Amino acid sequence: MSALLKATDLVKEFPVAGTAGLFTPAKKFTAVDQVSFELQAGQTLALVGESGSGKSTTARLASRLIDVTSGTVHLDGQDITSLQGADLLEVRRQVQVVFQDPFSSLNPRHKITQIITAPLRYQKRPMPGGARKVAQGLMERVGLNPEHVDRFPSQFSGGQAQRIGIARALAVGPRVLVCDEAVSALDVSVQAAIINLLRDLQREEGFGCLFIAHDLAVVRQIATRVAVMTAGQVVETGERDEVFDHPQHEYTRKLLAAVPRIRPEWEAARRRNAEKVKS
Amino acid sequence: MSQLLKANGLSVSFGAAKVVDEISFGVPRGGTLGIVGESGSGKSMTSLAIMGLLPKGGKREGSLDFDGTELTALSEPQMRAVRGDRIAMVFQDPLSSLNPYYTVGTQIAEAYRSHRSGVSRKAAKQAAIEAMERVHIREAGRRVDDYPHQFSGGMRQRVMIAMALSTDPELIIADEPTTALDVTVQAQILELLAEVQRDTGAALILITHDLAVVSEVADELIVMRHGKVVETGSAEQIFSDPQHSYTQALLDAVPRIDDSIGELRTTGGKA
Repeated sequence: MSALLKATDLVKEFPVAGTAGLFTPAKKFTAVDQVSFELQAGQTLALVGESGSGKSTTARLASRLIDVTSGTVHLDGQDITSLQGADLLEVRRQVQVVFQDPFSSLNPRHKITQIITAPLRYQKRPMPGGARKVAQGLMERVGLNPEHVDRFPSQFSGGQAQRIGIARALAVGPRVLVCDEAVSALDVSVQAAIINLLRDLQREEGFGCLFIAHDLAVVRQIATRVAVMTAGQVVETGERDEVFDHPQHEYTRKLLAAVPRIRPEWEAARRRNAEKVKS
Repeated sequence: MSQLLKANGLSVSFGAAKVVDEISFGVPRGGTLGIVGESGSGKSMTSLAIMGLLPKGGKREGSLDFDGTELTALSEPQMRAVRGDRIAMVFQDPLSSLNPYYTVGTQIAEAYRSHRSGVSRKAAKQAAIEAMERVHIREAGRRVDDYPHQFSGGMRQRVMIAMALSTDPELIIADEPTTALDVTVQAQILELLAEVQRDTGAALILITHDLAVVSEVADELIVMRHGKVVETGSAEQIFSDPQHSYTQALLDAVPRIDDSIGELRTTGGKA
């Protein structure tokens, strides 16, 4: 089976500010260093790592938001690494991104209708029944009240705003959804609802999801496969439970050990007590 | 264990809006009280009310008994003598709490001298170096002359803790001290706070949205929602037998790293 999204030996170098002279090029910082991965349709690949590990840059390279220094990105077997113009627009239809901060990625002066249907407008695609109707349909799919279609982003809570961001990403029917820390800024109860939403939508639509996160507990709930990054490189990749239960790389072990946990004996007692109440 | 700080019917209001609504709690001497809640629950306002640092227009009511002193009855100059000296605070974002134009040593020394009249600059700098050594900043004697931007996020939070410790406070209030930090750094900072408590006997109020963090650190716990305390008790009681439906729902919503939801594995059917 060929991969839906395949990244091969991705490298991204950034010039270091202030190091360029008149005749000497700037020093290079390698943010992403020979990263390869494959994402299958209907699955979620989580890129995990600490800040500065290169996970977000990798996601941006794979979704063609920034250009690679070297390496290739294939979407459905087609090399999309250097597509431009109409071809790149087609990639934009196939690959959509949900960002971390829902409010800064939603135009505060636009109504929800405009926001959600923006990708359709940019791509000059038909909106059966009009923009309003299309927006309402998408709002329903992400669990928002379609009557709120004329509201502005500031009238929504953080969780609702993130649902709007997801609705916008889904508007063009993407085959790859890139979630860059999409649930990190949310309260825990809201976070759980958004994770469930993403999972349900994936089951219905079958898109592949590239899920960027620093929170390993969230990744455990949503990933099919996991790639662990540090210092621009993938140090370990594998099936989710394999990576969490039998981490091979020393860095993965260190990372997992550092995650705070509710004491297992308290958790066990709580389950027992909850059972008692039920019976 | 006797109580170092007792809040009784503490309220904070802005005009007609009551953001903290008659809450009561105690902080055991040398122990740790965790205040957990989601955004908007009033947990941060509670800490600012204790410090007497409410934003403009905020009104505080109720009683705050700190080791026999009624904090709500103190004048601003009297409160200033308590704040930073006997009660110190560590905030979430160390970069915005540090002045970028001054070296960290200058800032720690300034905090120290403002509470120790007659201390020379030289002695204050020495105290700053010692405080930095206590929080395990390597080569403290050299790094004392560095500026905040020369430190990583975790190191900056160590600087903030060093600043808080420089006056040997009896109570440290840490408001989301590890939220902005990477998980490995978070573990180090939590360990550091525990070590500081062991060494100095200071009590700690840890304010956080992260239930797993609080479960590793707190002795006593209050769970807040919409400005009210919905549940209070020992950490063990609340985590092993939560009584309030909100606490139960909150605990259910926490993703567990050692536990995955089985259905995911079948997604797409080609895992």
